Amino acid sequence: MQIAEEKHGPVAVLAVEGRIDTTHAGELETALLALIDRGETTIVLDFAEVNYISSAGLRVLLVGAKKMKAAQGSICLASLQKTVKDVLAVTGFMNLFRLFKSKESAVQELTTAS
Amino acid sequence: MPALDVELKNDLCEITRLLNLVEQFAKDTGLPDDALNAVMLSLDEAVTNTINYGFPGGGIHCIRLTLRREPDSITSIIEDDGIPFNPLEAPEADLTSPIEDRPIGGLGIHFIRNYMDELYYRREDGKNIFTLVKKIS
Repeated sequence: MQIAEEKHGPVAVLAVEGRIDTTHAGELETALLALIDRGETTIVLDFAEVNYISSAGLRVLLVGAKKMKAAQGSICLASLQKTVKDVLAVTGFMNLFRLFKSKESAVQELTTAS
Repeated sequence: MPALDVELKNDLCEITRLLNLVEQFAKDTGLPDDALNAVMLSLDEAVTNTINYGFPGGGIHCIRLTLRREPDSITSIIEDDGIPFNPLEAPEADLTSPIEDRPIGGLGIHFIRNYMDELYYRREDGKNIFTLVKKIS
Protein backbone atom coordinates (compact mmCIF):
# COMPACT_ATOMS: atom_id res chain seq x y z
CA MET A 1 0.00 0.00 0.00
CA GLN A 2 1.16 3.54 -0.75
CA ILE A 3 -0.06 6.76 0.81
CA ALA A 4 0.66 10.21 -0.59
CA GLU A 5 -0.25 13.46 1.12
CA GLU A 6 -1.44 16.67 -0.54
CA LYS A 7 -2.60 20.00 0.78
CA HIS A 8 -5.03 22.23 -1.14
CA GLY A 9 -5.74 25.36 0.89
CA PRO A 10 -7.65 24.22 3.98
CA VAL A 11 -8.11 20.69 2.62
CA ALA A 12 -5.68 17.87 3.39
CA VAL A 13 -5.77 14.89 1.05
CA LEU A 14 -4.44 11.38 1.58
CA ALA A 15 -4.26 9.52 -1.72
CA VAL A 16 -4.17 5.80 -0.98
CA GLU A 17 -3.08 3.14 -3.44
CA GLY A 18 -3.50 -0.62 -3.02
CA ARG A 19 -5.41 -2.92 -0.71
CA ILE A 20 -6.42 -1.75 2.75
CA ASP A 21 -6.19 -5.17 4.34
CA THR A 22 -5.44 -6.30 7.88
CA THR A 23 -1.70 -6.21 7.25
CA HIS A 24 -1.68 -2.62 5.96
CA ALA A 25 -4.55 -0.88 7.76
CA GLY A 26 -2.12 0.30 10.45
CA GLU A 27 -0.18 2.41 7.91
CA LEU A 28 -3.36 4.29 7.01
CA GLU A 29 -4.17 4.76 10.69
CA THR A 30 -0.74 6.27 11.36
CA ALA A 31 -1.04 8.68 8.41
CA LEU A 32 -4.62 9.69 9.21
CA LEU A 33 -4.06 10.24 12.93
CA ALA A 34 -0.92 12.27 12.18
CA LEU A 35 -3.03 14.69 10.11
CA ILE A 36 -5.67 14.96 12.82
CA ASP A 37 -3.06 15.48 15.54
CA ARG A 38 -1.51 18.23 13.43
CA GLY A 39 -4.83 20.07 13.54
CA GLU A 40 -6.23 19.38 10.06
CA THR A 41 -10.04 19.59 10.21
CA THR A 42 -10.96 18.85 6.60
CA ILE A 43 -9.48 15.60 5.34
CA VAL A 44 -10.26 13.88 2.06
CA LEU A 45 -9.30 10.24 1.58
CA ASP A 46 -8.82 9.67 -2.13
CA PHE A 47 -9.62 5.99 -2.77
CA ALA A 48 -9.40 6.08 -6.58
CA GLU A 49 -6.65 3.43 -6.47
CA VAL A 50 -8.15 1.33 -3.68
CA ASN A 51 -10.04 -1.80 -4.74
CA TYR A 52 -10.23 -3.56 -1.40
CA ILE A 53 -11.00 -2.61 2.19
CA SER A 54 -11.48 -5.06 5.06
CA SER A 55 -12.99 -4.43 8.48
CA ALA A 56 -9.49 -3.49 9.68
CA GLY A 57 -9.66 -0.60 7.20
CA LEU A 58 -13.18 0.34 8.30
CA ARG A 59 -11.94 0.35 11.88
CA VAL A 60 -9.36 2.98 10.91
CA LEU A 61 -12.05 5.10 9.22
CA LEU A 62 -14.21 4.87 12.33
CA VAL A 63 -11.35 5.71 14.72
CA GLY A 64 -10.51 8.71 12.52
CA ALA A 65 -14.15 9.81 12.26
CA LYS A 66 -14.61 9.67 16.04
CA LYS A 67 -11.49 11.79 16.60
CA MET A 68 -12.54 14.26 13.93
CA LYS A 69 -16.04 14.54 15.34
CA ALA A 70 -14.50 15.48 18.69
CA ALA A 71 -12.33 18.08 16.89
CA GLN A 72 -15.40 19.35 14.98
CA GLY A 73 -13.81 18.46 11.68
CA SER A 74 -14.76 15.97 9.01
CA ILE A 75 -13.35 13.15 6.93
CA CYS A 76 -14.64 12.80 3.38
CA LEU A 77 -14.17 9.92 0.96
CA ALA A 78 -13.56 10.43 -2.75
CA SER A 79 -13.58 8.21 -5.86
CA LEU A 80 -14.89 5.00 -4.34
CA GLN A 81 -14.63 1.90 -6.52
CA LYS A 82 -17.61 -0.45 -6.65
CA THR A 83 -16.14 -3.13 -4.36
CA VAL A 84 -15.28 -0.55 -1.70
CA LYS A 85 -18.68 1.11 -2.05
CA ASP A 86 -20.35 -2.28 -1.52
CA VAL A 87 -18.39 -2.84 1.70
CA LEU A 88 -19.35 0.60 3.02
CA ALA A 89 -22.98 -0.04 2.09
CA VAL A 90 -23.32 -3.40 3.86
CA THR A 91 -21.80 -2.01 7.04
CA GLY A 92 -23.87 1.17 7.17
CA PHE A 93 -20.70 3.28 6.72
CA MET A 94 -22.09 5.24 3.76
CA ASN A 95 -24.06 7.41 6.18
CA LEU A 96 -21.05 8.21 8.35
CA PHE A 97 -18.98 9.96 5.68
CA ARG A 98 -19.54 12.61 3.06
CA LEU A 99 -18.80 11.11 -0.34
CA PHE A 100 -17.43 12.80 -3.45
CA LYS A 101 -17.15 11.56 -7.03
CA SER A 102 -13.54 12.68 -7.29
CA LYS A 103 -10.76 14.27 -5.31
CA GLU A 104 -11.02 17.37 -7.50
CA SER A 105 -14.73 17.89 -6.81
CA ALA A 106 -14.13 17.33 -3.08
CA VAL A 107 -11.31 19.88 -2.95
CA GLN A 108 -13.28 22.41 -4.98
CA GLU A 109 -16.42 22.15 -2.87
CA LEU A 110 -14.65 22.02 0.49
CA THR A 111 -12.39 24.96 -0.39
CA THR A 112 -15.36 27.10 -1.40
CA ALA A 113 -17.29 26.12 1.73
CA SER A 114 -14.63 27.21 4.19
CA MET B 1 -11.48 -29.66 -9.87
CA PRO B 2 -8.95 -26.81 -9.30
CA ALA B 3 -7.81 -26.47 -5.70
CA LEU B 4 -5.38 -24.44 -3.63
CA ASP B 5 -3.83 -25.64 -0.40
CA VAL B 6 -1.92 -23.12 1.75
CA GLU B 7 -0.35 -23.16 5.19
CA LEU B 8 -0.28 -19.82 6.99
CA LYS B 9 1.52 -18.85 10.18
CA ASN B 10 -0.33 -17.04 12.97
CA ASP B 11 1.16 -13.68 11.99
CA LEU B 12 -0.93 -10.79 10.59
CA CYS B 13 1.69 -10.23 7.88
CA GLU B 14 0.39 -13.45 6.35
CA ILE B 15 -2.90 -11.80 5.37
CA THR B 16 -1.36 -9.99 2.41
CA ARG B 17 0.22 -13.25 1.21
CA LEU B 18 -3.14 -14.99 1.65
CA LEU B 19 -4.93 -12.34 -0.43
CA ASN B 20 -2.28 -12.51 -3.17
CA LEU B 21 -2.68 -16.29 -3.38
CA VAL B 22 -6.48 -16.07 -3.50
CA GLU B 23 -6.28 -13.41 -6.20
CA GLN B 24 -3.97 -15.57 -8.31
CA PHE B 25 -6.22 -18.62 -7.81
CA ALA B 26 -9.22 -16.54 -8.91
CA LYS B 27 -7.36 -15.47 -12.04
CA ASP B 28 -6.35 -19.05 -12.84
CA THR B 29 -9.90 -20.34 -12.41
CA GLY B 30 -11.82 -17.43 -13.97
CA LEU B 31 -13.62 -16.37 -10.81
CA PRO B 32 -15.83 -13.27 -11.30
CA ASP B 33 -14.65 -10.09 -9.52
CA ASP B 34 -17.56 -9.82 -7.09
CA ALA B 35 -17.08 -13.43 -5.95
CA LEU B 36 -13.33 -12.81 -5.60
CA ASN B 37 -13.94 -9.75 -3.42
CA ALA B 38 -16.39 -11.72 -1.27
CA VAL B 39 -13.90 -14.56 -0.77
CA MET B 40 -10.97 -12.22 -0.06
CA LEU B 41 -12.94 -10.23 2.50
CA SER B 42 -14.32 -13.29 4.26
CA LEU B 43 -10.95 -15.06 4.47
CA ASP B 44 -9.20 -11.86 5.59
CA GLU B 45 -11.73 -11.51 8.41
CA ALA B 46 -11.83 -15.15 9.46
CA VAL B 47 -8.06 -15.69 9.45
CA THR B 48 -7.38 -12.32 11.13
CA ASN B 49 -9.78 -13.31 13.86
CA THR B 50 -8.07 -16.66 14.35
CA ILE B 51 -4.63 -15.02 14.50
CA ASN B 52 -5.77 -12.32 16.95
CA TYR B 53 -7.84 -14.45 19.33
CA GLY B 54 -7.21 -18.12 18.61
CA PHE B 55 -3.89 -18.55 20.38
CA PRO B 56 -3.92 -16.84 23.78
CA GLY B 57 -0.97 -19.02 24.83
CA GLY B 58 1.17 -17.60 22.01
CA GLY B 59 3.68 -19.67 20.07
CA ILE B 60 3.87 -20.46 16.38
CA HIS B 61 0.80 -22.15 14.91
CA CYS B 62 -0.23 -23.24 11.46
CA ILE B 63 -3.54 -22.25 9.87
CA ARG B 64 -4.44 -24.37 6.90
CA LEU B 65 -6.54 -22.99 4.08
CA THR B 66 -8.02 -25.00 1.25
CA LEU B 67 -9.87 -23.45 -1.69
CA ARG B 68 -11.91 -25.55 -4.10
CA ARG B 69 -13.37 -24.12 -7.27
CA GLU B 70 -16.48 -25.93 -8.46
CA PRO B 71 -18.50 -24.98 -11.57
CA ASP B 72 -21.11 -22.98 -9.63
CA SER B 73 -19.34 -22.20 -6.36
CA ILE B 74 -16.06 -21.66 -4.51
CA THR B 75 -15.52 -23.35 -1.15
CA SER B 76 -12.95 -22.24 1.43
CA ILE B 77 -12.00 -24.40 4.41
CA ILE B 78 -9.99 -22.92 7.30
CA GLU B 79 -8.47 -25.30 9.85
CA ASP B 80 -6.64 -24.20 12.98
CA ASP B 81 -5.64 -25.70 16.32
CA GLY B 82 -6.65 -22.58 18.28
CA ILE B 83 -9.10 -22.40 21.15
CA PRO B 84 -12.65 -23.49 20.24
CA PHE B 85 -14.46 -20.70 18.44
CA ASN B 86 -17.73 -21.02 16.57
CA PRO B 87 -18.07 -17.99 14.25
CA LEU B 88 -21.72 -18.88 13.62
CA GLU B 89 -22.50 -17.96 17.24
CA ALA B 90 -20.90 -14.51 17.13
CA PRO B 91 -23.32 -11.63 17.88
CA GLU B 92 -24.59 -9.28 15.16
CA ALA B 93 -22.67 -6.03 14.59
CA ASP B 94 -24.15 -2.58 15.30
CA LEU B 95 -24.66 -0.96 11.89
CA THR B 96 -26.90 1.97 12.71
CA SER B 97 -25.51 4.04 15.62
CA PRO B 98 -24.02 7.50 14.90
CA ILE B 99 -20.24 7.93 14.79
CA GLU B 100 -19.80 8.76 18.46
CA ASP B 101 -21.68 5.64 19.63
CA ARG B 102 -20.64 3.19 16.93
CA PRO B 103 -18.59 0.37 18.48
CA ILE B 104 -15.19 -0.32 16.91
CA GLY B 105 -15.10 -3.94 15.88
CA GLY B 106 -17.53 -6.78 15.33
CA LEU B 107 -17.76 -6.08 11.61
CA GLY B 108 -15.70 -9.06 10.46
CA ILE B 109 -18.33 -11.71 11.10
CA HIS B 110 -20.92 -9.41 9.57
CA PHE B 111 -18.92 -9.38 6.33
CA ILE B 112 -18.70 -13.14 6.33
CA ARG B 113 -22.44 -13.60 6.90
CA ASN B 114 -23.26 -11.00 4.29
CA TYR B 115 -20.88 -12.09 1.55
CA MET B 116 -21.05 -15.89 1.87
CA ASP B 117 -23.98 -18.15 0.97
CA GLU B 118 -23.33 -21.12 3.28
CA LEU B 119 -21.27 -21.43 6.48
CA TYR B 120 -20.39 -24.59 8.42
CA TYR B 121 -18.43 -24.97 11.66
CA ARG B 122 -17.24 -28.06 13.43
CA ARG B 123 -14.70 -28.87 16.14
CA GLU B 124 -12.79 -32.04 15.36
CA ASP B 125 -9.64 -33.57 16.88
CA GLY B 126 -8.81 -30.34 18.71
CA LYS B 127 -9.26 -28.23 15.57
CA ASN B 128 -11.68 -25.56 14.43
CA ILE B 129 -12.89 -26.32 10.91
CA PHE B 130 -14.75 -23.43 9.30
CA THR B 131 -16.18 -23.92 5.82
CA LEU B 132 -17.39 -21.00 3.70
CA VAL B 133 -19.25 -21.43 0.41
CA LYS B 134 -19.79 -18.68 -2.15
CA LYS B 135 -22.19 -19.46 -5.01
CA ILE B 136 -21.31 -18.09 -8.41
CA SER B 137 -24.27 -16.89 -10.40
